[in-house]
Amino acid sequence: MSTAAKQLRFVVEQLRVNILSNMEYRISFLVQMVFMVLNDVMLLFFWWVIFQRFDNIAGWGQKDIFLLYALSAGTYGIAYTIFGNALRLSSLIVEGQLDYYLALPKDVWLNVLISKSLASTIGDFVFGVGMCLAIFGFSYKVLLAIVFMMVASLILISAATIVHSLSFFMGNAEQIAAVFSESMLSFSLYPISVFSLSVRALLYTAIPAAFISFVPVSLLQEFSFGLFSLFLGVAVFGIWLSRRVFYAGLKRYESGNLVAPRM
Amino acid sequence: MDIVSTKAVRKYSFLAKTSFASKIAYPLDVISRTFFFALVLFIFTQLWGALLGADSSIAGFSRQQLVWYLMATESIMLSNARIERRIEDDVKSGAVAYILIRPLHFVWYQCAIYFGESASSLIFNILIGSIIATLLVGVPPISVGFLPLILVVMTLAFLLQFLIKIFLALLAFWVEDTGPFFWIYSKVLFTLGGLFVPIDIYPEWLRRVTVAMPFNYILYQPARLFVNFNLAAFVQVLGIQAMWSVLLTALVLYIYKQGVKKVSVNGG
Repeated sequence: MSTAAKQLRFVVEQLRVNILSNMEYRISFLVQMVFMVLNDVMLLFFWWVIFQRFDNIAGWGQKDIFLLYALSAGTYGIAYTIFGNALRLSSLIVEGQLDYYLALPKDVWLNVLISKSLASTIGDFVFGVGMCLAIFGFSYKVLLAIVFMMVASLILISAATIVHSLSFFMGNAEQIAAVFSESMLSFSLYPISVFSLSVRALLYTAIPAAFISFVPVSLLQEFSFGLFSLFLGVAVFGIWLSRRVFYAGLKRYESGNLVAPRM
Repeated sequence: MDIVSTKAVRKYSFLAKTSFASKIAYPLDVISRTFFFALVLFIFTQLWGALLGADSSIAGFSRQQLVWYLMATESIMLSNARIERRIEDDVKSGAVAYILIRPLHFVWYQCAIYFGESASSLIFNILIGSIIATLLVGVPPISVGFLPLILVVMTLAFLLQFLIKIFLALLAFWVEDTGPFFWIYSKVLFTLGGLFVPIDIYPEWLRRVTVAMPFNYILYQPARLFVNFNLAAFVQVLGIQAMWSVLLTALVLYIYKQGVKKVSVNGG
């Protein structure tokens, strides 16, 4: 079996274990999921009010904005259902809790990120797919949207991992990581055309929120191989850079000598 | 009554002062809060800029007023002390029994803490929010003379907020987890409270529903008076806030009285 296939099997197996462990408390799992779906639906309220007064916002109609939310939520859903540990990477580094992963015969970068799933984020994915179905009906575009969510989730996780890995170099980067995550999420929920040119440039580079929602929405509206290649290229580059930064930092890692049972 | 005596006022003021001081002892989380605030105001400035021209308005609000409106509603929202988890824990763990033997009323004890913590956050948030909003859209024509009156409306807004929150938290006497109630409440504030946009922009039927409820007196009304003060509206808002405060106080005290009967403490 090739290395890539082995890694993929490892990811799928870990995801299965994570979901099963989340489902141990079945009611709590379902409640968290349902509340997340409702939360996402409620976020559309603001736009619904705005579209009672305006036909479009900088060229974006109500359907486009709802699609933006669907893609964004779906991406966050996939990202943190599979790579749920990415959110607490900086605290794992600062507290010296990576020892457990270093002792295992698996890729450390991958193993750290996938060893936890956030139950509520599955709700985000359900909302994203549900919205796509509501917009496109049973069309191939829903499948295409899910593929785009997967690619975007790799970009999201790569960017988050790079920022969290700063903890290897500069001590506690939790605050920076929190601020970065907040910016990524906030900017991915608004149409990019409302922002000035300099902000747009930022959203394609330092805070790559454009690739979380705007680029996939554009591709769904009008597919172009050029844009799709750029989208894929950014995902591949993001993973490469994220691993480089993580492993460079890992050389500076100091154990917390923490003795704790892992349940 | 005990709660209106000078001694009681001094007692609860001391509690509020202590909570105020303990809240400002941790300045680190201030950084991320400030950033979040700046981010929201920045995004909405750009959004309103794309929707409204330089001198056009929506439902009587200019772009500048909408940004300052959001500054005011977000300041109230972000300053709102999170006392619910603590109250729920006190009720569930039976710690409420230890407050029962102190010369304090549980509800007003929590109220003093809530006001102390919220006030320190509010001062900070209004200050930071005003600086950010000024940098983004400049200073709106606010009459400084009316600011003390707006402070009165804001105080009652916080009282209403406290009463609703403690009412929900006290339900822990009967239900295991009050988390979902608070989640629903936060969404109600977001929609019926008018967090992002003034309710004047809502469709007429929804605006009517919203006005009949207490939630818009927590966010919308204080913020609207802040950006567009009107004495007649102020008097009306004050009256309705007072009415809701009395109603909710009665309800909270009743719920508390019923709940306390259920407390059973097994040793210590």
